[in-house]
Amino acid sequence: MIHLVCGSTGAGKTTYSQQLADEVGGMVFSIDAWMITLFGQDTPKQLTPSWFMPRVERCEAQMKPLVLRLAALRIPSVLDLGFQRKEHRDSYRSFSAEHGLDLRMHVLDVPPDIRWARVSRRNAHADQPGTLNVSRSMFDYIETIWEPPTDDEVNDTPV
Amino acid sequence: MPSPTTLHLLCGKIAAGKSTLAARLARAERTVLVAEDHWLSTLYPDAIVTLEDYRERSARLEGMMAPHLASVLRAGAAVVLDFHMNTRDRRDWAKDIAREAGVDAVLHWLDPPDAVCRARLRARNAAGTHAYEVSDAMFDRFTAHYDPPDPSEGWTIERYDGAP
Repeated sequence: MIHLVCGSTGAGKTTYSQQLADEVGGMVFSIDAWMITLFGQDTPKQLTPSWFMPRVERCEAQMKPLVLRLAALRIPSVLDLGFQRKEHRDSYRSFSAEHGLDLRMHVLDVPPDIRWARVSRRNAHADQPGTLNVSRSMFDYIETIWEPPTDDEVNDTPV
Repeated sequence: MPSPTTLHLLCGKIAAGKSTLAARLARAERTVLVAEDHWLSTLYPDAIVTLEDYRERSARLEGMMAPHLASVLRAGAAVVLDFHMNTRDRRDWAKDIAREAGVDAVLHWLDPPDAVCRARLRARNAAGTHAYEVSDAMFDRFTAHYDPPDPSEGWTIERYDGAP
């Protein structure tokens, strides 16, 4: 079983994912924590998709075999990978279909003003491990790529 | 609650046979294999050339991996960790994971003569079957830091005198 936790910046994906994993006895894969721990020191001043995306892809390439092995042992995976884009969600839908895994989508739909308030609070405590400092311009940029899942994408219980 | 399970660890010089043994141990039921060289070569393609590069990247990988390994163990699966346990720091890191997960750890210690390791290394380099090609000079440099476990560390040890 794989759980996709989906929402824009500040929706509470990582907190939700951890609670969900505790509930289902599963393992969380949080892309922000991976990127910070594995590549944080290499981050260029100007963060660009051409630097960011290949590294995210390398992380996901390493996650997938582990997710499959865990699934074979009936240990669920909670994927906290953003899933802002439909294309990204679709690729995991194909992945789960290809390997015969059950998939459940969890959508955290929180209004932007509440999310920005959370993000600003988090920025003020940026020493927390696994959290990224997200500027207002970065927040606004991510809003432009956020494609909320449509009803037919979320065939299971939405949150 | 699943019953407590085991964290399997491997100590031995380069080409002592750690990965071969790890693959064999990982054939057991409810076991997950995690191999350092595979992770490093995928995450950091072309970035690891010197011993320092290796140390720095593997420290990052340790930080990322520790909570995940504990979580797999807590979920009731055994883990075969194909990460060399050749330094005290590395073993302490692994010991913390087992403690955190509340499981037993076994240290599989491969200790064939250097000549056997070197011969295996040359064969492996020639075959190109391993994530990293390692020269004789690199073998010496890594071996200079080889610090096998001391009894005072309190490990449960399975010792292998030859290569597997």
